[in-house]
Amino acid sequence: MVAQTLLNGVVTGLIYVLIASGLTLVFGILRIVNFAHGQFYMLGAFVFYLVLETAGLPFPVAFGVSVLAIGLLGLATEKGLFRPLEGKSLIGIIGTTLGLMLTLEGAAEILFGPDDRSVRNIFPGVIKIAGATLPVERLVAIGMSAAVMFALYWWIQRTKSGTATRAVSQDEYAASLMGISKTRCSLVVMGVGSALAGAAGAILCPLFFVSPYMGGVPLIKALIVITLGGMGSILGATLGGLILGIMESFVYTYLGGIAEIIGFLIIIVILIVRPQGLFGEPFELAA
Amino acid sequence: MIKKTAYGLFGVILLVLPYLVRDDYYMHLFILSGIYSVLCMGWVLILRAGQFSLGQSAFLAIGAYIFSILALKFGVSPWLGLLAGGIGAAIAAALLGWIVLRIRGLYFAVITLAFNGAIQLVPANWDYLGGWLGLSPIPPFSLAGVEFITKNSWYYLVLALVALTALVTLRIQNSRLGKYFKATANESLAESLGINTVGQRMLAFVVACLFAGLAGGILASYLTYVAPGDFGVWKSLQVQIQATVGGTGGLVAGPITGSTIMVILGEVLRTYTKGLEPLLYGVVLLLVIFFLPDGLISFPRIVLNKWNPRKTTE
Repeated sequence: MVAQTLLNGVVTGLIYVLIASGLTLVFGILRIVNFAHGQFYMLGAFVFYLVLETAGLPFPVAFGVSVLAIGLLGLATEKGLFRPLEGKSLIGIIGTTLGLMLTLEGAAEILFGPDDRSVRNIFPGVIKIAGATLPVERLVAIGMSAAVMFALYWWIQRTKSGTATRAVSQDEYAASLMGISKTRCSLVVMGVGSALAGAAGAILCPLFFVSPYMGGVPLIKALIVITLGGMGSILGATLGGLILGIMESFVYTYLGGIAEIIGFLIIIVILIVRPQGLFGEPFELAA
Repeated sequence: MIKKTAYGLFGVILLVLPYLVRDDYYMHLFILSGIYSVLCMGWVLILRAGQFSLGQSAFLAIGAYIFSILALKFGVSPWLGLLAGGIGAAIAAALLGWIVLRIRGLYFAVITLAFNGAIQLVPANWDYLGGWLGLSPIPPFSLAGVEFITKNSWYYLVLALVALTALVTLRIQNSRLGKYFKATANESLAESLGINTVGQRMLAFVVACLFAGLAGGILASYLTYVAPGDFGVWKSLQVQIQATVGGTGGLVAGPITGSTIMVILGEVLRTYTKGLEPLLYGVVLLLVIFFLPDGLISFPRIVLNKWNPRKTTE
């Protein structure tokens, strides 16, 4: 029972990690919380569904197309919507991402219809570990999530553009003295962050239904995760996501549906004890 | 002078509106607009005090549920229940505010959003409060032995609440406190002048949520049911968007304009496809932010300025 709950928690946690890491990456550089991130995830799932089920192409192709398509959507969003926001008030910044979120959700509902769709199970079978049963499908999702997170860490630690990103998020001014363009960095980060949402959509949609409304709840969870982990910290998002997923899973198993409130309680406790989150830098955003 | 006449004329139109419209469906839309107007005015008041709330529908829910429980399970008179709902929402706001009002900007927005999600789940998981199905039938108000059944009576009840909210928020704006709100734009400067910025935020938050709670009681009684699904994050987003679209420059005119236009357009469009409503809110919000940053109420002024030849030569 405990092992099963733990495993379920890890799966849920990985979902949160995947979605929250893109959100927090973008926030670290652009200082914008992209409320449309959940809809990017939803669109990633739809692209995956369309390529795999409608076009009938193989799994890796569908995965690649999702990642690429949502990455490009992120680039376009940065250029068209976020770049003009420089220096605007919080109403403008939050409003723009909320506006994009609702536009995408409404458009998806009109284009694809409100019904749930499901992707066929590509990896059938069940494996038993330590008394817990685990469908192979879920194991594949865990493995792919972990691989994506490793790729992200490799990019941010080992590549030139990743290093530049870290420099800008630590000290924008000093980074600009080193010849790093924040504008360029913002573009790259929006591309990578959105591609992560696309990857999340592709990895997770075989486990759930695909629907225009699937982006809302993961977004709220991801917001809780990045508040817990510290806004802008990828390590924080990774640990925060796993903590929230595992805690929810245990509370859900033993106490039932009230588990959803855990996230809110975590936020309240964190804000009293450590307002900047586990790994965040203290900062202030003017209203 | 012109402004006063315009307000007077607007007031008269609002009073005789039912006799101009004479259509139950449109009166229903105006009643909903009124409920949203109350929420939007509160939202702008909170914004003035320097906070960006994304959880106003949580307080609407608190008011609605307190009202419904008192009426259904304890047989309390609706008027007392209404008051209790408002006060309950205000107390909840004070408790939440005590913890989170010190926190600024984006964090506050995220907390209120999470709070909204959490509050919605309390009745959903609690059978006494009706679970996801909610509670019904919630009794109507009555005045001098006459029950509120016609749309017109509900319209006047909501209008009274809108007027009360408008008066209180305007009173706050024109008082010393309103000047403090302006000063709080520069928080550290305001604090150095001895202004208690957290205290002001608390006051704005509690007042806004008090009215949200009152609106909740009326909404529950008007709809004759309460259900958790009606108090989701979407409603809070609607409030924030309606206020932004109407214009946050003033405490009353912008929010009322925004909610009336958006509620009517949204409800009418939704009858075609459900997705049209979020699409409308998203697109209009983006257009307003990029092309009309002071909201729809600034539109006449912009048009007048364009046509006025003296202005263009300046």
